[in-house]
Amino acid sequence: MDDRYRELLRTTTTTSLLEGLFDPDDEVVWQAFDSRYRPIITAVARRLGLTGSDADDVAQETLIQFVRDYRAGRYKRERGRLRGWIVGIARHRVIDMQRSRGRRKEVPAATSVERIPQDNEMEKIWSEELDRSILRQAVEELRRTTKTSENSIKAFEQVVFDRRPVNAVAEDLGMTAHDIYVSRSRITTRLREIAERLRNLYEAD
Amino acid sequence: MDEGHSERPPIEDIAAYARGEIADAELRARIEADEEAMELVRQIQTDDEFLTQLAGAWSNAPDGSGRGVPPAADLVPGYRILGELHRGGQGTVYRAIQERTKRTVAVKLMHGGAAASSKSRARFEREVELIASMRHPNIVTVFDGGDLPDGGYFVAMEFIRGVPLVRADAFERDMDDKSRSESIRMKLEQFASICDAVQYAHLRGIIHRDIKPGNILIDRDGQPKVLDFGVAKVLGLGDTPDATLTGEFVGTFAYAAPEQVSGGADEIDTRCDIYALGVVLYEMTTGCFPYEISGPMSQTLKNITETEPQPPSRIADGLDSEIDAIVASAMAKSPDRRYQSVGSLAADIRRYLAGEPVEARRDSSTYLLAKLAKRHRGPIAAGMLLLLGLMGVSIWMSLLYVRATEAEQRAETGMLSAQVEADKAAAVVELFTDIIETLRPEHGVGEVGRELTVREMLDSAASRVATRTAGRADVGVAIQLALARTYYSLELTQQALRLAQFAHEVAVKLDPDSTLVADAEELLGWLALGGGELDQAQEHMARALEIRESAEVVDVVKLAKALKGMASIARRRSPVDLDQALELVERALAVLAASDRDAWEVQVDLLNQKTVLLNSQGRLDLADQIAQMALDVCEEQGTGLIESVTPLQNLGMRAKAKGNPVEAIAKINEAISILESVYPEGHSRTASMLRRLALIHQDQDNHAKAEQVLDQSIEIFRANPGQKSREDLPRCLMALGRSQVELGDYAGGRDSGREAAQLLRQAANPNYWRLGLALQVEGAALVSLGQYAEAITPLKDCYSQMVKADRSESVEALECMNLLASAYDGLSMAEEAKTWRTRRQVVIDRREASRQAGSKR
Repeated sequence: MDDRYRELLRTTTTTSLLEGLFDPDDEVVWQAFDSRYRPIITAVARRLGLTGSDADDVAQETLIQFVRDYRAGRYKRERGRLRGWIVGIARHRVIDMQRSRGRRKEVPAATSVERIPQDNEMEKIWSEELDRSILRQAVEELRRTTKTSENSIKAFEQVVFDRRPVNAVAEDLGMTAHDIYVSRSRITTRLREIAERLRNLYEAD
Repeated sequence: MDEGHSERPPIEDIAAYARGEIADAELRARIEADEEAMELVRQIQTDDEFLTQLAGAWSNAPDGSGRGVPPAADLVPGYRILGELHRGGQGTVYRAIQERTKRTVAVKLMHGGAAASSKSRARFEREVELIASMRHPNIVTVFDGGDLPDGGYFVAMEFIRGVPLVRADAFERDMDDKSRSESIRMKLEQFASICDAVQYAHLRGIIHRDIKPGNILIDRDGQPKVLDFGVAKVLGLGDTPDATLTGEFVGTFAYAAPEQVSGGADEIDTRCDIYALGVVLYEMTTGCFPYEISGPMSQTLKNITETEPQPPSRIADGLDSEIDAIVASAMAKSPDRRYQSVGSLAADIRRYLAGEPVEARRDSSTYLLAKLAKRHRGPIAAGMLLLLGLMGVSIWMSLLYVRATEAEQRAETGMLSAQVEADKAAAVVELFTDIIETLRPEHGVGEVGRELTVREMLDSAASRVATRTAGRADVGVAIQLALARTYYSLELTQQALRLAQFAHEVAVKLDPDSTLVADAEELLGWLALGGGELDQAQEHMARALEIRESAEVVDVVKLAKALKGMASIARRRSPVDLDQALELVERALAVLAASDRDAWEVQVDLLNQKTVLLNSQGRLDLADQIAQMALDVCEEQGTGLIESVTPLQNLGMRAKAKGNPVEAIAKINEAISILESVYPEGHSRTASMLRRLALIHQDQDNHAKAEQVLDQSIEIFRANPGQKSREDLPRCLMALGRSQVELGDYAGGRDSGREAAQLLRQAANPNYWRLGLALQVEGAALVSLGQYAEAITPLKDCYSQMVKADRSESVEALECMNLLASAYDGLSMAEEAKTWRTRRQVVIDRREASRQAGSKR
């Protein structure tokens, strides 16, 4: 199951995933679709001002409703963009949540969603979050497909993610600063390639 | 290595150039002139552009984290990591799927400071196992934990959709009174549930160490869930919140107890959690911290250790002085002045919610005593507290009696009740002041620098109580009885008897039908029973019962206890009068059931008695039901309570008898873990339970395990000579001997059996049967060692003990005869061997005959 899941994530276009989604028993396709879109929806919900678990809830409910609608044949791929459809559902969920919170007075006014942006603005937010999500996935894939024991990867992560000085990392790992810059460049190129491939899978949604 | 490009500027400079950070014109020119260097510059620039985006990918969503390495999805073996949920000082929490079960879990990855030595790993694993064993509706269940290839740790736990417990929000200030009071009630109910969770953990010996709102989630049903139990310890973070390690020092310090921020690590105990809960309660009710924590560190520390917080009722509306008292008691600077258990804090919250007076306010008189003790701190403080603990309850009970009888008199005489109350309270405090004052070295009791024993304090108190309470004989008697009961529980029977007799004499003179007389009679009854004087015991207990029954206002609990006493005597009679004992226990249960007094502990005690009696009668199924009922009653009160130990033991041993070792081990293990959490390490009651566990292992032929467990319990018994040790040490040795023989350690088996026999012979009332069994272990080991001549004496002795015990036809006796025959064989004494074989055959035939006769009938 695990291999197929990875394979789906790595190589299958959203369109193909959507086809697989018709089979309610195919948990793996659902997991792949979930992994591909949940982070984006959650991020968009956050951008709309929702905090941690509220944004999680919105993503959860949105995905469930999307699949329900989709299986009921309410969404036709050729008629409109997937992101538009998902954003539509998410907006309703956000509004619902706001309403119920307001009733229960759970959240002080300042942190609740003040206004839901219009469609074109939502598109922009979606694109930005999609980019970010792709980059995150690219790193995940890189890590999955390389041995973390490999020194060049270690060096890359320490320099890029941990922001450690190149010299210190070089000394720790028995490399030269020059080696590190070279491998940094090599890995960056690889990440770009992975990101590019992943972007194609989304097919501009 | 760089020699080859000696003219080329170092790579750091090239990188700095690429980022526009080189001001030195000469260096710039040198780089620009070098084509390869410029190639590198362009490369670094394009990389930087992409990597900035990449770093930015974690900067906002979906997890709001701004830094750090995203973990690989398969970093944790057995889990697939999805998204990040929360990032904190100790680690980051991710949503993940457990591959095996496909359930969604939360996985916490910790870059904790624990060393990777195998010892600390073992400790970590033990700790995680312990934490993972907790099952409580208000605790986030931990499933799993372990270390990671990269040196970190992970803990997998239940995934809760919930929000962290937040402070009372500002908008509550605008609420109307009604909704405000509802909101406070709801919060207090939540808080009581939080306390339940912490209490549950404490009973298992797990201290949270990091209680704060961030570690408490409110789920969608409004139920609080406490997480990260013991994680601080697992991480080896030590016991002092450390800014550099947690990175959240303000958050952590705000909930740290004064002894945590100022004292050494050995000061950390459950009361630190109680303090933190106090701060949480303060925050929940007022929306503020109890003191300023945003200033300089030194000031914050000073505030924690010195500043008395404003009472909550002065800060927020809708609170009253009872809440103030609860918060003050939970947050007392000195751990000794706090609630001593989370259970009592929860109980007070519930009392408050039920509109009953809270214990925290009753602090004053006990506090007075504690303060006295503190004045003489050092040597006596610890022992004094123990003494007060032992006596406190009894004294209060006795005083309640005095209060009740005087209430009747008051009704007649029209005395001013308040004055009487005040007099009596003053008398008690005066007495204690006096007694404690006399414990000073200059009065010849203690010596400077030496710790006083409880015994010395008891003796001092006992010798003075009569003269110091001359004016109030009833108070004096009540205290003497309390002291006597304390002596009794310390197995100092002579002292207990003397005091009880004296108190009895005085009490009879005061009023021969008073509850005090009944108290004295009852204690004398137990003392007589302990000494084997059944008739005398019967007489005392019957008189106690008579007084309890005829009291104007019957105290059902005391009545039930007297009935239980009578039942215990009936059980010891020879021949045992099981029916009568059972009848008495049934009556006691009926008395309790008919009243509305909540005396579940007594009820459980009686149900346990009933279980044993039914077992002795062979009514096993009914016995099982009663044992289960007892356990249910306990568990209704809470999990992990000490009262559930006996029902668990009864059920466990029955499961053993029924051939269900798995359940038996589970029950006995549960009992052991409760005992270990309640009693100090190495308590004889724990040792007795370990012995039972060993017997189950023996049933399963797991002698290695049995030996290990028995070694543990024997060690405890040897260190704690006393009634229990006298009872159980020989039994442990006997069982150990049996396992040693099975494991081929015949010399060990011989020594164990021999020591058991010696101990049994020393007993005041020798148990022939047990002595026989011990001798058999010794004899069997000797035969196995080939020391036949030495084996004859213990084996013959074994046989004669079994005859004395009237079990000469038991399976064990047959085995004894068999061993004797083997020993004589070994000595080539065919005649004797034959004699014993013949004798054995006769018994076998007789058993067979009676078995057939039985089946025909």
